Amino acid sequence: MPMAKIDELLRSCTLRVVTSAGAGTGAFVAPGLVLTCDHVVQAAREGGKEVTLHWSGREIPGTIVECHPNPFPDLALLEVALTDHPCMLLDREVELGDPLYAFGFTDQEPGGDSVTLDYEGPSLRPDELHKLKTGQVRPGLSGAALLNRRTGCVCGVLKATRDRGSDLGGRAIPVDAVFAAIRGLEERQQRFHASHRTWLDCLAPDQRQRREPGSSPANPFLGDSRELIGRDVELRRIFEKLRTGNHCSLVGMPGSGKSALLQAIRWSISAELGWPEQSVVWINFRTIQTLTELQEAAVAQLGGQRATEWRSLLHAKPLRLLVLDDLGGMDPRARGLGMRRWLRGLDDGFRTKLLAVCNERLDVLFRKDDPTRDSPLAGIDPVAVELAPLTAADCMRLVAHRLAGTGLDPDDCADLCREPQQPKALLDRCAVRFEELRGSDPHLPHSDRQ
Amino acid sequence: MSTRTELVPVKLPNGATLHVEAVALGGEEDVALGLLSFDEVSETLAGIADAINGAIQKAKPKKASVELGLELAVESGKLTTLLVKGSGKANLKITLEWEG
Repeated sequence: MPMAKIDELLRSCTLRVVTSAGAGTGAFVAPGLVLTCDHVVQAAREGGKEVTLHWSGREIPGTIVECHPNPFPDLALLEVALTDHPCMLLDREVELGDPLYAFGFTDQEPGGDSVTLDYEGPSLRPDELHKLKTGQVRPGLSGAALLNRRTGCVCGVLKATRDRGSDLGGRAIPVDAVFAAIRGLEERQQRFHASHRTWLDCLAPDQRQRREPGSSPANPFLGDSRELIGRDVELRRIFEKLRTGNHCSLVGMPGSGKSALLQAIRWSISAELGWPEQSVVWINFRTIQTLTELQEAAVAQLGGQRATEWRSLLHAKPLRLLVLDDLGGMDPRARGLGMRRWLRGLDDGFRTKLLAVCNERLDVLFRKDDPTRDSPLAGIDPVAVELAPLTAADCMRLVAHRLAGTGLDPDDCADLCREPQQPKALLDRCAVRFEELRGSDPHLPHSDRQ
Repeated sequence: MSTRTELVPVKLPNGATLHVEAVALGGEEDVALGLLSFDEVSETLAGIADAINGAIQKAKPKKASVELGLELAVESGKLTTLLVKGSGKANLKITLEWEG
């Protein structure tokens, strides 16, 4: 059975990661490179100490070469002086109900233990971790690769349990976040598995078919834009506003790259501003309709349970910043006014700043508020950070980035990059061009999944 | 309340490691293996002692005795303290005496 071989192969890619303060799991992701969670090696990183890896009866020193701190994406890349090892194959694909498998070194079974889980879906929270159910995720499994038994590929990295004592499940870092955080890893994976076919040869025929060049490659221009290209000025302006104690609003039309910019802010806010991760709360208004829901969402991230706890929590734990994503989802009428007043009042009571993210300027979005008396958010940032279309040069950089590792020539899309445009519009046009070229050139790969 | 218990390794302030049986309250937590900190338990105990001492000082008794029942629990990966029933029927028993 091919799947039996795949799970054996996954186990042979898996290492125990040990530091002076604890332990976890990791897996080979490229020659000499091990992927794990940052919180597994945090003590070694902060103390400048070495990490020890246990694999195949050997004890190997490891060096942290890249880290992206907890809580998200919570990834670390370790380097070891080894190259004669298999590597797992990462793939973004996962669908509701997919059966998953992981192997790691737990407190109860330090020699290694298996767990099966089901994919429950994404969580609408800033980290967008995979939510998993029906499996007991024990301490020690952080960093374990999560094998999607349907695709035969690894779709995530285990990070958290939802209850260590039961089979409530856990959460995992999506492969999308791994590729976005660790630049060049996707191309390294492609190169490795093109020349080492062990993993591909273990796949069942239907799993292999969807991966084989010429049978089912993805259009590289499809999918949300996670790259941050051409937004350096905007990123600097946002940090500058926050650093100087101001509120900030980020305004951009759909497809202008707000989500990618927010990801970049999330990953670098501690380093840029020196604010602890737990002093920043991220709220998405796609799912919030009332003031109570808003307070509950904030309280949950601050470690509380009931909406009414917000005041005592804020007294105990300073909240430096509240990020308000998709603020256009807030009711612009009286129903939302209570939320806007509460948000605005946080600065008076607790010196909490707001980063509002929306498609239109705040004074336009909430024009029904009386501007002379109570338009709580309209004046918080007189000069919003607006996401203008990418320059022609940045458009070309985005195309080249999407085509990296595919062997295709960015010049085939050069004529589409002559005018400034938003990232999503550019990618949509390039996706159409890619399909046109594929239709006319038998040497280009054909897709069977759009 | 959950009565499931976990044997968890705890790091004491002097660096020594102690395994304690704690009530498992569940909750989401990262799953790296590591030692839990005893600090929160110490702080809770000090907080309770301060609060009770303040109240007793106001009453100015000649003699006071306090008995409380504490149980350790692990919740969302952190060691925490539960005030539970002690040897008697109360979780907090205070006896004050004044000169007659």
